[in-house]
Amino acid sequence: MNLYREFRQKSELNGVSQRSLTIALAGQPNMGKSTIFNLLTGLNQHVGNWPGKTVEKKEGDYQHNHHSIHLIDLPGTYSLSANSPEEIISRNYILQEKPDLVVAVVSAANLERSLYLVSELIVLETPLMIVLNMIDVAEQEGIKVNAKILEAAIGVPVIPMIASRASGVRELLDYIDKFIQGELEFQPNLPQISTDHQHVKELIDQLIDGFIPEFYPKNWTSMKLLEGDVEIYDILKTVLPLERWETIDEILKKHEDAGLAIASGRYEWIERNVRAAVDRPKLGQVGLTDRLDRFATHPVGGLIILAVILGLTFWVTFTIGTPIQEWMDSKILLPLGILAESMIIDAPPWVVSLVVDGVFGGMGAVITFLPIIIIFFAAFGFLEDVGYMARAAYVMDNFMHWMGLHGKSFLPLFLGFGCNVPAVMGTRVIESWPARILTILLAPFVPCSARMAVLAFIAPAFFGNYAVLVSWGMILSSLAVLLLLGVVLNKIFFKGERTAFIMELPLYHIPNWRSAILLIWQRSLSFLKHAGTIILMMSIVVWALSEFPGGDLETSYLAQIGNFFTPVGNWMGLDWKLTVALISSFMAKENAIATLGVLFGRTEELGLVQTLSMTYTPAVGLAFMVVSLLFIPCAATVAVIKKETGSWRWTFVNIGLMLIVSIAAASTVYAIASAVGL
Amino acid sequence: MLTRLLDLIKLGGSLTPASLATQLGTTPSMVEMMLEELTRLGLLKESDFQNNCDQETCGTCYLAKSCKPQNQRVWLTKQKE
Repeated sequence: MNLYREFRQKSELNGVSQRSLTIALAGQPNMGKSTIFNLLTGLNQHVGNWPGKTVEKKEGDYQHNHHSIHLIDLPGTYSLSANSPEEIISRNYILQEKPDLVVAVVSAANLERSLYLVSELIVLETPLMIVLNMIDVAEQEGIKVNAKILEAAIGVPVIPMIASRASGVRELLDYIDKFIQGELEFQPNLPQISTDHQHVKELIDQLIDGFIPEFYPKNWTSMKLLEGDVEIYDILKTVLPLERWETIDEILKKHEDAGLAIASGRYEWIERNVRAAVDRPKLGQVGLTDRLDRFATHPVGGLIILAVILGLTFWVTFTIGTPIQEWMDSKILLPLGILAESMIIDAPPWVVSLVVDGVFGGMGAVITFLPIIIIFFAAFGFLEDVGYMARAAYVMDNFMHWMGLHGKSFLPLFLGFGCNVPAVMGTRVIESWPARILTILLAPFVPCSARMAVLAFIAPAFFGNYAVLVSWGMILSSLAVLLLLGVVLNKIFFKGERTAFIMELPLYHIPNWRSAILLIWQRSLSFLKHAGTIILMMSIVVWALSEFPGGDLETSYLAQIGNFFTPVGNWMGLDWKLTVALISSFMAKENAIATLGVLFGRTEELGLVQTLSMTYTPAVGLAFMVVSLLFIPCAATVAVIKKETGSWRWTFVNIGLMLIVSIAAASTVYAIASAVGL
Repeated sequence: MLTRLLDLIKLGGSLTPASLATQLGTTPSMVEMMLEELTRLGLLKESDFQNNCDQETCGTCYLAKSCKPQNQRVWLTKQKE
């Protein structure tokens, strides 16, 4: 089929003067279509709306070599399905208004994606030309597109262009001239439905032949019908005789997978053309990413790298963050507390206690977290920015798959390392309700950043130089617990079903230091605001409970609450103070530290960390860290569990489960640690 | 090509557009397009993890404003109905 010869015949038949013709510009958004439109029409253009739609319609005119050309800028669309008003407008315009020529604007830098629209335009049986725009951008990325080969492969004229520099516009005009003169003899190579469904298409072709509206090409119509195009389906249902339509409908129902066969044919077509015309040397960033990914995403090597990076993060935190935290505690907070006390020395004793123990002891202890938090933010922000975190998720998922954990459970759980709230919400990807419930129950077992920060605060108090190893071991252990539970989940609910998890991996790149610093700054401010509101409020509540009714800590309401739970706390080696610190972490995990700050106050020489290390044995410290890591979720997580499950029953089941697991684990750890003399 | 991609996905496991592209002898960009097509056809679904973090749902979390979990796209197979 020679579309251009056919066009000339049609033009003559329709009486269209060769001195005046209509050209439609088609293309996906951001391909430079509007730039070309503006270059050709200049000021001679006007903007309105497409009839009955709020979509903008741009038209313009220009003269070239005694030809008057009316240019229509079609709305930017990714395809010609009936999915959006823009797509319906574009395809109906081409089919019903029959422009003399369609010029498809594609990007050389993103040819695969651009050619999808061309694969749909080319079957509309309207004369077509391709403008290969952005060849400069493609070359900057090391991509070379040979326009001549592409032209030969697709079978329609291809004009290279850099529209932003008006380069190639003259060549386009020359091609349009040749087209008008009938000098172009090209044979379009059309995408074909995959071979396993060709007989179905032929059958539909026969059934619709002679019944479809004049402006719909038969080949295109049958393809759209098989694809399940709603508009074409409704039109043919109306125009075809009932018996014939029922036969077609039956075929369509029997071959619901025909849409896949048609799309598959399009991608084969795109792949064939791109393979022929594009030279894509592996250079620079892409090559570097590939080389690094050979290690970072290796099933075994990737896991080792991940474990080392996690260990390094703790090492950096303890090496830099902890000394600064201790310095802030002893050299800033302590003198400030003393200064405040001296300033309000004449105030009632309870006011002094409120300020010194409640505000400085509680909220102040949490504020000294800041260096640790900043190191965490910086480390994880850096890993995110360079593109490593996606690899971490990928290698973990690979490992989890290998162990038998279901991919749909893994990803929400991975999100839990940041915060358990999005982890619980992320379970929405799981269709099976029982599996989703169980994943929700597992999500709070993932050590979130707040829990890790508490761990980072306490570990150096009891384990000094070994804090890195202890923290690292605890995180890996909690992952092992999670993995074990997840494997059980997969066996019970997913019955070993294999699913895929396909993750886009960004290119590695050098982080933008300005935005990294800005992010750390924003997060630090948010943290201080958090400390100054929620933590301060909780510190005052804890202080009030520790002060009343008689001003004696050991007989206070807080002591009474703590003593009530102490029998359970004792299993883990926790006295009433550590027990209430644990309970207070329900509102926010950092409250555990704030409560300890209120309860232990400060001596003139020692900060909270030193006080804790002198008060408790490492066995107690270890048990407290274990129970803190696995203890009931914070209030925000509980609220989202209630919201996502829609049930208080499941919310309490989660709380109960975590209580049992955390107490059992901490009791066991305490017993073992005590037995080995820690 | 699309059916070959679907067959590879059905085998399950952890995949990336790059690893699938190597197996299909095409480019990652092409694979991403096909993944989008399979999503449109209802055979895959794209996760929306990035929408899970916002001020409303994250309660008092001080990271909520600057939180950006999983900006990368992730596709998962859909369970048969």
